[in-house]
Amino acid sequence: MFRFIARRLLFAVLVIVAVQVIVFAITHALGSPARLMLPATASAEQVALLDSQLGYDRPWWEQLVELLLGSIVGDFGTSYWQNVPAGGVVFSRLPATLALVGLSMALAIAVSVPLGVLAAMRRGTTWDKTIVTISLVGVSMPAFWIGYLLIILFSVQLGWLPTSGYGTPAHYVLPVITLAALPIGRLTQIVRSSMLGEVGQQYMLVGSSLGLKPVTRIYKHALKNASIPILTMTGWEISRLISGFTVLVEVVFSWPGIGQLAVQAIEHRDVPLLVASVTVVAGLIVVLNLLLDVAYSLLDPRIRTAPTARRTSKEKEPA
Amino acid sequence: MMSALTARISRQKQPKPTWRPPGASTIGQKLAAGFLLLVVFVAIFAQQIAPHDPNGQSLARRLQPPIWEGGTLEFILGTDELGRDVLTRIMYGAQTSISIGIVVVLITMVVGTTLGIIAGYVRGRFDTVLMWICDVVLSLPGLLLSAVLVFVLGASATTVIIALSIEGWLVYCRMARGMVLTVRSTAYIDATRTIGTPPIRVLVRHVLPNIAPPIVTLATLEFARVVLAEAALSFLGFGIQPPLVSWGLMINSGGDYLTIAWWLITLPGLVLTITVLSANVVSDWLRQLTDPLAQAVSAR
Repeated sequence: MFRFIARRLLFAVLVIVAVQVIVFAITHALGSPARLMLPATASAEQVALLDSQLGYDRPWWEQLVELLLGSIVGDFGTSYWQNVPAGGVVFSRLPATLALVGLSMALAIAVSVPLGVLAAMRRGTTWDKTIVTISLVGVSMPAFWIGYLLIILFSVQLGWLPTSGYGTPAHYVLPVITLAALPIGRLTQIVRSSMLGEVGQQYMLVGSSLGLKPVTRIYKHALKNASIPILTMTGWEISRLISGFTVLVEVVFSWPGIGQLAVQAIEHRDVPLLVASVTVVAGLIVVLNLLLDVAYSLLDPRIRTAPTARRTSKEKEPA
Repeated sequence: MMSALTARISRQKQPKPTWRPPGASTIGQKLAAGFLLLVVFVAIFAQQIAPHDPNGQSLARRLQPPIWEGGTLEFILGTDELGRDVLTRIMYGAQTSISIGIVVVLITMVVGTTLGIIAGYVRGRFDTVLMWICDVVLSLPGLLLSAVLVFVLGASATTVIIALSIEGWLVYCRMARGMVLTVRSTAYIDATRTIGTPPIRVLVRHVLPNIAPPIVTLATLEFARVVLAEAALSFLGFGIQPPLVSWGLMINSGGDYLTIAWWLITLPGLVLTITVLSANVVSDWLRQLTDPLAQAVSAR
């Protein structure tokens, strides 16, 4: 168990280093980041001046080492746009993003588990077909479009909810629903197919011969056995939300999270802030995957000896 | 005894599905395939069939509603904030989406499948390193890194294709590798190798045909994902740039007018959604056609 966690921890560190090296390489690809941060009309002297101000004129390996060491303590240099430490700006945006992702996943699980179970229990009926169709539509709609549709309907036409912003509980409703739409679609499909794998099992028959109520059999026994693929997909969905869809939803609803911050950093041509926000997002994903790996190995001891077991479930649902 | 009982009980609980011959399509699948063909047709012939110039501006006719909301026959789906015809722009947007989707899918499919086949067949250090790279790339924040790449290289159709290809190849790579691992241990591959067939010929003539159908199925699924990703990048402003037209870009610029002109966002998004939905449905259909096991599962 200890060796398993140590191995996953090492991989997590490697991924974060890889992200930083990649972002460093991309931002230094055209010589110096100062060239990206200044307008195209800037003279060579202006670029050189900014280079020396921000330390971009030093050897590249020195800068890379500084970035890697600094990121351990959350020091990513000074934001060019806001003129305060970039790390602090990113971490101040973290709670908004985590709240949005957490609530959306809670909603997604609360909706998709009953729907998936219902579809599996009523296989082939109109219920099943309707639920399968809804989940297919859910995974096909672009998140930013759902957000705008909800704004048009509930904010503009009906005037029930605010169009954008952050603060009161009412501000949460539309962004959370928007972000939950995609995982609802995907999780419903997974719950349905894993439950279909369980209902034909003999222990279900034994349960019924023992006189257990269908509710007990389905929710207490079948769902418990089907929970590992569901948990896998839930974790996978959370990383997908953090790595992409949250950015879109935050931009649509002007939600003050890390995704919106990264987009603003690009718009303000603020390289230190951009590096900081991308690194923190990658760090979130890595920590999440690490926690999930440990959770599986506690749930299913077989996984400890086969560290790549989770890969197969990911392959079924390619990104 | 037990299994007979199980069968009986499950027969009572489950309505018996109507049997369909293998490969027969449902109405939904036909509609989906038809819609995709329509979008491809419009994309190819947008220049010929579009009623207006996609960038023809006229402030005199700006923000005209669609025909069923009191608009005119000249602009069936209304006009945008600069007086450009929405229908025409949706047609040109199809051109962008379809071409970027096809190009990215072709690049990633060829690169990913080739690497995956080699890794699965050769094994050894090449395989280890490649799978390690896959693991790392899978853990990266894809959309953000694409945005950073586009920011540095400058936004254009080419950079969008590069950015989407970088994250797209690994699903093919993993799938191809996994299937090659199974295929290479079969008797017919052993037989081919025994009679001295060179490895390249074994891979191209014997391994590739056996793994091709699932790869093609995956490609249609990936097409849907790439079309969505292009729209997302363009929506954020890091993708297609004017004067080129993109559905994501249309939704972006419509965002400023959502209180007064709902059609600017709703219509391109609707076409985008139906396109992606159709690709998903067609992918599922292809999987049923090519995989006898999936046929059994879906017929259950």
